Amino acid sequence: MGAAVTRALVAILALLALAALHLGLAREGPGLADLAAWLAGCIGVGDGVSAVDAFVLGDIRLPRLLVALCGGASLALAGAVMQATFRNPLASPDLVGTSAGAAFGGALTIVTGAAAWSVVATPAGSLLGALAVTALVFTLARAHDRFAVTSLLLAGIALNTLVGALTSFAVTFTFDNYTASSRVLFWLMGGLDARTWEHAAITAAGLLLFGALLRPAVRDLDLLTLSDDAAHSLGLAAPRARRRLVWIACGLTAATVSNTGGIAFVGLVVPHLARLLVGPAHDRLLPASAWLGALLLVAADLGCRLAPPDANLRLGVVTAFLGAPYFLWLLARHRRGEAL
Amino acid sequence: MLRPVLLALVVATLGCLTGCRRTAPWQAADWRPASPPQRIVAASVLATETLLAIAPRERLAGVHVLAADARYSLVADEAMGLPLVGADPEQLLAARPDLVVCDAFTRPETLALLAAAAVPVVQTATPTSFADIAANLRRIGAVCWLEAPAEALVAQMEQRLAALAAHAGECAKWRVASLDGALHTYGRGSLFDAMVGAAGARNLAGERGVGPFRKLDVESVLGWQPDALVLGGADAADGEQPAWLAQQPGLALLPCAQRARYVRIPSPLLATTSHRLVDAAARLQDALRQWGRP
Repeated sequence: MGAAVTRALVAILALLALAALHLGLAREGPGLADLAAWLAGCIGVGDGVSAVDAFVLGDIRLPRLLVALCGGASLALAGAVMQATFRNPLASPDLVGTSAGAAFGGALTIVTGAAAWSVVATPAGSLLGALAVTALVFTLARAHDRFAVTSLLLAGIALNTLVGALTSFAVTFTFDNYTASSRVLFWLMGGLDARTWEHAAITAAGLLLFGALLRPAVRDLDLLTLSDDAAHSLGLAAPRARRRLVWIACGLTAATVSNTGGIAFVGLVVPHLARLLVGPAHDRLLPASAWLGALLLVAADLGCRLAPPDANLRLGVVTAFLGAPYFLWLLARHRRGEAL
Repeated sequence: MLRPVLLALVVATLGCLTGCRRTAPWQAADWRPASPPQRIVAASVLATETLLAIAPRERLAGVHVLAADARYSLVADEAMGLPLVGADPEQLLAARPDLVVCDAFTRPETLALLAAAAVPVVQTATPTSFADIAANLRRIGAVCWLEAPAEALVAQMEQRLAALAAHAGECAKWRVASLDGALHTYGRGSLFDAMVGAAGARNLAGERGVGPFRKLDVESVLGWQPDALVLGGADAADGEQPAWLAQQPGLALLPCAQRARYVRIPSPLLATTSHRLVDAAARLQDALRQWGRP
């Protein structure tokens, strides 16, 4: 018990330290000293910082940090759930078209000009796209009132392709407007710049709501890693549980990618890293995945922020750079005959 | 339990969507600050080109980073030395502006954050004609308390347009098309269309029903048979063939290619949305008049 508490404290402290670096490190504008002064000012100690620095720290960087924390945790949780429910180490939240639907919905708001109406227009369009495509995949996958993994995968692949094509088609409508064109492209590549409190609220709400639903499902996840028959003999209706859990994973993904754009590999890679740390039992794997996911996305976003401005480094690109080598390493392990 | 949660998330997001649309006083078309702004950030190339022409330099607290890039800006040299800003709200706020002038394409998130920081932001409209350009100049002049110099700039532009109109008849038979290395062209509803019209010539893409911007194929260009091609790129003499054109099989068959009827207009001039577009029209008219007839 003591070791577990220590581990939890270390994890929290590491996250807080990284969060402080995320808030206080910048190429320009308020730095770590200003962050300390601002925090001290918030509790009535010292003079605080100028109004502009307070705004930069409290209304620009802080919501961005929250989106990174909640988004990273949500994507990693979604990945852990998908890998358990599909019994496949390569499963990720992108599998059933949620991310593709989010990309399409978001791109559509930019192409039609609806994005200019409100800062929440793109997240709203994206969320609706994600849920609509996921619902369609689930409807297509339902055969003979059963919820077969193969049907779900096939429907997911087909819808991913179709919605990807629709997104490309929507992008062609921005060719007469290079700014809209670059905005769509940046959205599809993912990023956390200019996030507001509304974005943070939606991402955090998604994590809290769906994370709460996940808490009582820990045993189901453990059982689903067995065969359906074994799970059934232990009292779990596997198809029904799988449908519910995949929906939860899709909800976590939708609430995140609707505010961040496409972010690859977090959901795929982080659960594997978490398994290396705490093992496969989901009561420990889920919190560890959420923690590592938050850590990874905050670190990746910090890298984006500190990169030279001309580099235009996007978050989705950084996570892909981190995730793709890991994916290849998994493949190499598999070729050597080791389990994934 | 799952369905209510999904529903709650969607409803909350849509609630945010309708509830968080912020309107600031400076979004009104006739708004201007109570006193002359002293720290203006020109957050677009258009704003920079305009403000460097009408405002004292010391009132500029920052200019857009592209305005200091000679590939995109006609005032790159003048913009050098001024603080450069991008689209990032943090960068914009770091300039401590009391007014930000940006274009219609600025991200709503950036606008929302600047509004939350109580920084007035004025967006210029996307121009498709010289009248729109004049309206943008007047708007920038009004919000910066620089009506007189802005009006002088408009008058200067209109004077030059009138001078071009006096010779427009000499170019009326010319059917021109813009083309770049990827065979993009500008059609109806583009500033290029307005520029060609000001020079007195005809924009072939516009006449063929092409919208503001389209990618063509070689077959279309061969079918259109333009009398002259308007080409952007680095400064080059009229008639000088760009390397990319020789690499596009078939374009050499165009009569205008065989007669080297290329009007070379520097890319920033061809792409400008400011009063400087009249320079492009003058350059086009000069070239066409020099060649006489198609």
